[in-house]
Amino acid sequence: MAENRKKSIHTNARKSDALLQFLHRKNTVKIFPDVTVVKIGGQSIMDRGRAAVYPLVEELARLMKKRRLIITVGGGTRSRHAYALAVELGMPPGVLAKLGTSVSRQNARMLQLLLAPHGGVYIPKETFDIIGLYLNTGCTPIISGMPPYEYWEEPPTKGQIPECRTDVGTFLIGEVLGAKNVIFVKDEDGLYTDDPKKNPAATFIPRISVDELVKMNLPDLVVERKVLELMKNAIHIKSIRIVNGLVRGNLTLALENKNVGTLIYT
Amino acid sequence: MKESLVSKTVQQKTHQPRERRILPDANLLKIGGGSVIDRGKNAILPLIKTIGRLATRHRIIVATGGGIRERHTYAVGMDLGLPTGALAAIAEAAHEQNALLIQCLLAPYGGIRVTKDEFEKLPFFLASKAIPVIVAMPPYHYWEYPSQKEPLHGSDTGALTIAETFGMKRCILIKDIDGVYRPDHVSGAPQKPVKKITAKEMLSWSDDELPVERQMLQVLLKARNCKKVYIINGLKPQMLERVLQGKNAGTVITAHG
Repeated sequence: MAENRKKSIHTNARKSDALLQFLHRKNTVKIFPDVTVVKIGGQSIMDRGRAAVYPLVEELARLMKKRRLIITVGGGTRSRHAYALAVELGMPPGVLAKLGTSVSRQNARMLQLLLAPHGGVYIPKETFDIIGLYLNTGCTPIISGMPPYEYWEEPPTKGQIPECRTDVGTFLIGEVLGAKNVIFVKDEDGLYTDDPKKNPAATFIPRISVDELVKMNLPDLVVERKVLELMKNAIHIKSIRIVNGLVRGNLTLALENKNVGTLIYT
Repeated sequence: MKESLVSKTVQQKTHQPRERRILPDANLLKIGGGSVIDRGKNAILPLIKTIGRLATRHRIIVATGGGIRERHTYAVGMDLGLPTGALAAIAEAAHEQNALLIQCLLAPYGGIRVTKDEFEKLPFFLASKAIPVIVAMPPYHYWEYPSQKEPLHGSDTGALTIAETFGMKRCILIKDIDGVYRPDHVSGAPQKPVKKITAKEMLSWSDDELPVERQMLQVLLKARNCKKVYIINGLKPQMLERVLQGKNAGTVITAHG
C-alpha cells in the first residue's frame, strides 16, 4: 500500500501492461540513408513561374540522374490568400492547415509534370510507404510539403497560421527516413538577421547553431520556427541547408555538401 | 500576399481570439483503449448502453483509443529500431480495430464509422441522430515529431485537437479512474480525485503521475475553443450522464485555472 502510494495512483491506472518496460529505443534504423530531401519553395520559387522554375527543373533533371532525391514543394501566394480569407471568416488553425495542404499539392503536381520526363512521380501521402519502389527504379518522388495534420494541427501559440507547414513536413520526411540531408531551396542566399527584402541592413549568417538562432529571437526567419524546435529532438537530421534557387548551380553545390547558403545545425 | 508567414508581426496580426465554432453542440467522448476497451464486455457494454441512451438527447461523437495492441506495436517497433514516425503510422491499425468494435456495438443506436476523409459530413450524421465513431489518434503518421519515446501525439491529444478545431461543446476522456489524483508521496490519507485542476500544474508532474498525455496538456494551454477536458470513469457510466447534464463528475482540467 505504502509502496503504491509512492508511485501515484495513475501509474497502474494508465499503464497496467508489462510491455512498458520494453518501451525504449534501440538504434533507430536509417531507412534511406543515401537520399537527399529537397524542398522547392512555393512563394520563393514556384510563384515566380517560368523564370525561376525552368532553370531549376533543368538542374534537378541533371541531379536526378546521379542522385536519389525526394522533392517536396511549398505553398506560397495562394496559401496566403486562403489563410487571409479563412482568418477573416474566423476559421480555426486546423481548417487553415487543411486549406494550405491543397495549395502545396497543386504546386507538387505542377513541378511533377515538368519533371515527369526525367522520372518525377507525384506521390500522395497515402502511398508514402511505396516510396522505395520509385527510388529503386531511378524515379524521384515528388510530395506536397505540408504534413498531414490538417484538422489535427495544434493551435499555434500566437495567431491563426498553422505552425507546421511545408518546411516542417519536409524536415520530418528527412528525419523519419534517416535521409542523408535536407535542403531548402528558397529565393534568398540563406539566413539573414531580418527579412532582406524589407530591411537592407540585414546581415547574412552562413552558419549557425539552432540554440544560437533561437536565442537571437529574430523578427523573421527564412525557415519555419517549428523546424528549429523539432531539430533539437531529431535523431538523424542534425543540420539543414538553405540555398538560393535563383542562382544556378547552388542546389548542385549543396548536394555536394559544399559551403553554400546557410547551414543550421544542432 | 507576399508577407512572410514566419514574421512575428504577421503571427500577431492574425490572432483571432474568437473563432467560429463549427460543431458547437457536439460532445466528443473518447473511450480509452487500455482503460476501458481492453477490459472487455463487463466494462464496454454498460457504457455502450449509456451512450446509446444519451445520444437521443445529446450530440455525441465517439473516439476510440488504442490500448494494449498499440503498446505492443510500439514495443516491437522500437525493438526493431523503427523511427517514431513509423511507429505512429503503424499503430493506427490498433485504433481502427477498436473503432470498428465500438461502432459494431453502437450500431443499434445509430453508431457509424466515420473516417477522417468524411469529417465534412459530420453535421449531416449528427443531424440524422447517428453516433459517429472516429479514431482518436491524430493522423501524424510518418510526420510525427521525432522523439526517443513513443509518439507524442496519442489519442488524448487527438481527441482534444479535434474538439478544439471543431469548437465542440465538451471533450470528455473516459478512463478507468474517477478523475485526476494529485500525486501524494507522503500522507497516508485515502486519496480522492480532485474536482478541478490546471494543465499548468499537471505539467510539473512526472510521466508516471500523469493520467493523460503530456502533449494533450500542452495543447490545452494553447486552446481557444475547447478549454476544458473532463476525466471520468467509464466503469461508472452514470458519470457520463452527469457530465452531459452539466453536473459535477470526475475532474475538469482547465488550462490555467
